[in-house]
Amino acid sequence: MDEILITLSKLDWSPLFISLKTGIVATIISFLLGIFVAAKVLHASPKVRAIVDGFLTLPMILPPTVAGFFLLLIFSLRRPFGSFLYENFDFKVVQTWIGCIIAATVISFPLMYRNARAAFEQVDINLLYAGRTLGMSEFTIFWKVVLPASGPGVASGTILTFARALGEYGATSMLAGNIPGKTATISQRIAMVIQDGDYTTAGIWVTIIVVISFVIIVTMNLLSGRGKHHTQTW
Amino acid sequence: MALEVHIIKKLGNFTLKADFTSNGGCSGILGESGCGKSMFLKCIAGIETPDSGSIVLDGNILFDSEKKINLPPQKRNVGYLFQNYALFPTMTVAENIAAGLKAKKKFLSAKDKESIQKTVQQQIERCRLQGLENHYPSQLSGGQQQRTALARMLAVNPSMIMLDEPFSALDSHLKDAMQQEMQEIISNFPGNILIVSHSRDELYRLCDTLSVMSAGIFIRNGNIKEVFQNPVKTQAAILTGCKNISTAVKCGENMLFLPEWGLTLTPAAPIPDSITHAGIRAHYFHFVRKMISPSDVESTVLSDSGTDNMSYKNINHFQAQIVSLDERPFEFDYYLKTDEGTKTFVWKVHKSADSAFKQGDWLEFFIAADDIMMLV
Repeated sequence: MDEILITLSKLDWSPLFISLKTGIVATIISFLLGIFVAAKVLHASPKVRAIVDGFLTLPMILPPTVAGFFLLLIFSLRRPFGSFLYENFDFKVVQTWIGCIIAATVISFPLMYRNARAAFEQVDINLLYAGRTLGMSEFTIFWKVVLPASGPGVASGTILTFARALGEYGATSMLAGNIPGKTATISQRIAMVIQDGDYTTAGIWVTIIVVISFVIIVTMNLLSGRGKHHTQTW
Repeated sequence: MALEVHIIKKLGNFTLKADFTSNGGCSGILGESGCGKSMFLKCIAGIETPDSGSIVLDGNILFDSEKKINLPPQKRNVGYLFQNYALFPTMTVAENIAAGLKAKKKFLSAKDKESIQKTVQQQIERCRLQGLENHYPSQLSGGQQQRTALARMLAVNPSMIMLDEPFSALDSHLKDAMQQEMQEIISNFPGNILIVSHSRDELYRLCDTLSVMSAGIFIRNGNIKEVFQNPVKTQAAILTGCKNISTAVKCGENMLFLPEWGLTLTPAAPIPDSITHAGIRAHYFHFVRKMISPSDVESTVLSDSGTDNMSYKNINHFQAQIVSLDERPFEFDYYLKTDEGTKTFVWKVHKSADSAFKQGDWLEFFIAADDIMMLV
């Protein structure tokens, strides 16, 4: 017990903030991008849809290290695009917090996209037709009718996206590395301290991430359950 | 007040080839499920795009494949009442009604908002939705949902309205009340009204004209009473609810032989050479008398003597035996067969002591010459 208290008092809290920041920013990007892409894919022809869908889902199916490999191919300073960004815009992805965000976004995006698409597909097509005959623009129909009607599905997509982004490890460690105070997320810190045999610190971080994940998911479940009240019968 | 539609739309093996004109008033479109009637409405609304043809409403071209005109639904100003009402589930009744009004302008001034509020209030009163303004669609009964959908549609002041199976989702006891309310709304609406249904009763009650659609084609158009009186096409007769249809052969200037029923009849109108079928509505058999015994049947068939028994030899008189019967709440359905016939036909008669018969009874009937429908 004393050991835990001593470890706690000396704990470097930066991984918590890095993970939360990364999770939130990645979720926001995935949320907007996922909804936008899902809405676009919905209008595409079945063949295009199948191909685009497959491509967008890949990061979820592949091991995160494979995604990390591709991200390194793109952003490594020794590669054309990476060096171009660095030389012209002084923009560095590898070994930076931006790298954390990009890795977490790429890995969590398919969850958002697939959930959003499934939710949109559940929306009664007649609602869109009705909106059109009433003179509503496609933009208004989407934001005022389709998105609210698919609220529970989109909400659960967001939960999963956040949970995934928060715990991302494989691609992050390859792209952003494990720089304490800069890119060291909770999951990377856990892996590192385990290697050092420091089970107490690892246990503390495990507890923290379990509690955060659980609280967020329960809260969001309750929120989306409340929204369901009006949509159930549809 | 004129709607003119000439369109072709292919969907797999199915082809919709619709030619339709209306000069205002309420037109009914009758057809089985899947005959293309909803597709026809969707083409007019702009939800579906025909392969070719034109749609002109009050002089405005909504669609013309040759002139490459295809207005989006937003610009057509055509009201559409969906079968399931398609109310926006996350909006209240008032918000649903206001949704179309808000779409008319990009930015709403305080004055716009006030006028929207006023229109919404008018529609709420008109469609008797007072007190339900803040309810969500899932909290409404079927009838209230329909009234909300009507209010939402009428609020944007459409130049014509289309109702797609408007009563199919309602409980039967609500149907009657809603049809009455709909009648009121229809009679106050200045533009064209199209009602699609598979229920002849609904359409008969609400419409002035009727078009019968079968397999993507309009097979009969006209005043609704005329269409029911003389459907002309066999398919139209079935759809207008004629239960008894037999093949028919012209065997004289005014003699019609119906082999399936073993009847020879004389219709009032000249018999067309192209006749293939004849129909007699189940309510149109006039009961003459009950034969006392099978021997009575025998004697009337065989002997031409006697004055009383002569009647069956009269034009359009015949005898038939009750093969089976169904009892309905207010009617008896008797399935009858003549001696020479091979198929039964049904006679529907109001329940009374005088119309109660047993299986096996022989009855004599008379059919008015006007009631024999000649079909091609």
